[in-house]
Amino acid sequence: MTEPARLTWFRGFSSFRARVFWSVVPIVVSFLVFQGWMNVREHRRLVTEEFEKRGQALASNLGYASELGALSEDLQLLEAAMRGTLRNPDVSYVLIHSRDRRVLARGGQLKASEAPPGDARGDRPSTRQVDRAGQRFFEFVSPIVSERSQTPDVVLLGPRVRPRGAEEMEEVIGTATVGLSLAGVEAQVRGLATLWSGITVAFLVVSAAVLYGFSLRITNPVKQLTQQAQKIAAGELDQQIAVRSHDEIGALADAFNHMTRSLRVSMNDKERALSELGELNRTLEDRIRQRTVELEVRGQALERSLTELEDKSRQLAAASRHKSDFLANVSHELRTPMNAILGFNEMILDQVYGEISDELRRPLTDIQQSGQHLLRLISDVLDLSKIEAGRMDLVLGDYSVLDTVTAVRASLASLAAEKGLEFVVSVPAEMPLAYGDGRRVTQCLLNLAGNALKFTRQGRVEIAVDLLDEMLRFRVSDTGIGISREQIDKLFTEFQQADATVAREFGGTGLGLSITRKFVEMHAGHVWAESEIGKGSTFSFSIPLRVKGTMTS
Amino acid sequence: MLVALLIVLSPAVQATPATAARVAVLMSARVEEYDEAVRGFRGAIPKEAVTVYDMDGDIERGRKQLDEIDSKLKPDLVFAVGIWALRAVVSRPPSAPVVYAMVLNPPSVISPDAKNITGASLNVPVERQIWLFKQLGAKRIGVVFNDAKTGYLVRRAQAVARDEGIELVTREVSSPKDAIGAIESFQDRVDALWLVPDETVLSQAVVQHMLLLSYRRKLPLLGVSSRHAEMGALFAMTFASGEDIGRQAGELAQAILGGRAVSDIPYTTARKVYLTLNLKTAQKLGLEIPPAVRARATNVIE
Repeated sequence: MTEPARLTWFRGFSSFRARVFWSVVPIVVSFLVFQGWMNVREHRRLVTEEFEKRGQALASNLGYASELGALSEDLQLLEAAMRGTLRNPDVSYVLIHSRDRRVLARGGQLKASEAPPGDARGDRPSTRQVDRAGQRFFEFVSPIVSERSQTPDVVLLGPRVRPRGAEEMEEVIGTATVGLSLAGVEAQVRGLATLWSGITVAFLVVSAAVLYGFSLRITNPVKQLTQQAQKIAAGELDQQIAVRSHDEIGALADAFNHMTRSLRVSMNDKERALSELGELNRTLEDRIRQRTVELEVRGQALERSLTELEDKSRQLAAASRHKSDFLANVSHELRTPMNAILGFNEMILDQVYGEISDELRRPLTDIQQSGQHLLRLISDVLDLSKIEAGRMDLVLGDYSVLDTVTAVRASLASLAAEKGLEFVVSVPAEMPLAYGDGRRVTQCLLNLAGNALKFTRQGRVEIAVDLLDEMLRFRVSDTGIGISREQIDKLFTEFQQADATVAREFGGTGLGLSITRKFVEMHAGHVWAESEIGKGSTFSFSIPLRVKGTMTS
Repeated sequence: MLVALLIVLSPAVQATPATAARVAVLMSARVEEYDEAVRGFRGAIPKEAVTVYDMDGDIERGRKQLDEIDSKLKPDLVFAVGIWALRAVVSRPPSAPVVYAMVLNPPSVISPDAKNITGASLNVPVERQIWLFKQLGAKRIGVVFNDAKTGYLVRRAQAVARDEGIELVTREVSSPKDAIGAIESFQDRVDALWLVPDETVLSQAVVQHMLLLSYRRKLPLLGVSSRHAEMGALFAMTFASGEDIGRQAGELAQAILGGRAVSDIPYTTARKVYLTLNLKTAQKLGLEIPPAVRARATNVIE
């Protein structure tokens, strides 16, 4: 076998159609052969069984019919008895034997020389297969039974008068043998086997043809699909498969057509996108160039703006510094004469320069108070200026929180008493020494507590301190007018009070909270407020128990 | 069981023991007809003391019972009921005279020189049977018989028939096998068939063959038992009742006990007979049954 020929053969065997064919045909063949074999076997069994029954019935009938003949050994009687049996087409021969095994009569295709002596066990029915003259026969033997002669007494009076020990009523007086040829049965079985062979072959041919047609129905669309796929692979996207069936193959062809259409649409889309992309490519360079020029122009403008901004910023910083310097200097310069004024005024009030009348004392006291207020204002402005000018330094050292709070209470007790307010402080007993600028902390507390007393008309003001995670938290709460949420956010900027009307009623510059915030922040802490209109406010700040390093503004 | 079964049939018997004779009853078996015969017998001799022995069909046992009867009971008469009781007394004759009953063909059992025995046989008188054939107009009656069994009967019938102008065509056989051939040999040589109470010809096959011949040749057949009439024989003549046979025997016993010599008393045949007539067969045979016969019929099968 040459190489290509073998390949073709192999492909033929491995094709889908061949596989279907070779997987089904052996099953069909084996089924048919098995079925046929079973059928023939069962049929043979049934036919043989029937045959045996018939044979036994024939022999038994012959035995019965031969009673008289066997009794009298009369050939005519025996022949008359055999005649009926011999009419049966299956019966080949019959034999009648006497009790002593002599052949009394024979009939059918059996020569005198072939007639065997009677069966020794002839007193019960039997069946056997024998070969006679080269042919196979089924031989059925039945005993010929005759009733024994009865005594006249028994005939007249019945069997009860039979004596004890009397013999049986019946006796075997010979045997009847019927020989049936197996040829009929065998021919029938052979015929059946031939019929089944024919059916097997016919069935095989029909099933092969059906299988072939069936596989064609499957493989043809598959082949079409394959060719289609090859065409599509070659770029012919306008191909469509004619769908005839509604089975899986039909569904596959449908899907294939759908895929082809989708492919065609997406190919068109792709081509359009490609051409647009080409167009875009061509215009892109011009546009980039244009945009680059625009960007360069904008960049230069931006650069100029930045330079201007920096200049302005520098100028602003200098101006601010100058302002702060100025404010610091002015404040300092204002404080000196202010102190002198207050000093002298105090000395006048203390009557160092002689007695003063009561009419005079009152304005002088007003002067003293206003002067002190002014001095405080100047101090605040000075502090703020220093902080903003970056010239405020904390003077760090150990300080007692209790002492600080006590001092604040002492300096404000008179004000609280004056307004009839309860003023309490609470400091934990085991409070360790704190490290920081005690003076500034005192100033913060004074600011907050002063504000609280100032904005509370009745109730109480409390200063509370606690230590949590190495952080000191100071809390000043009151039962004053309260502040809205929007106002709280603005509170800690300079010159801000909750309400413009507040200044008129309660006085103050609005610098206190701003300064407090700056000091707290210099201690690396923070300040906050909580309040509810009409109920009161709580101002708190927390600072480390022990401040690290040197803090500056 | 060898102990005798004593049946005291009547209290009156016991009341008169001094004058009563003792009778031993030997029964072949406890069969209804035999019991009837004993009842008939008792009716004929009401004053005697009767002791009943049952052989239960066993001749050997009967003989032993006879020993006992002879040695212990010492009866004045032995009443043997049935063929086996008769065989027992024949093989072992008791000292007392014997009266038998319910037996067919007693001459085939009892030797001619036996003197101390007589009885009432079951046989139907041959005269009546010949009379039947004569009524039908039969001239030649075919009979198959075994001389040893029914030779006496056939010879007597021949004599009776001859007087009536009828010929008995006889075939003597010694076995059932021969009987078939003998029947076949009748063919058209006879115009009636007679079945005699001979066991050689009473086998089913022979009777059937006889019936077949009867039908084929349209020959009227006289059977031995009413069963034969039911099977298709034209008629059958049998004894009418066991009780009457027993009564006949009782009358014989009465005579013997009265002092008559047994040898002077011949055996009897049935006084009353029972005639079964099969009209279906008559129709098939194409026979007109004469009114005289019809009038005698006790049982008619239609």
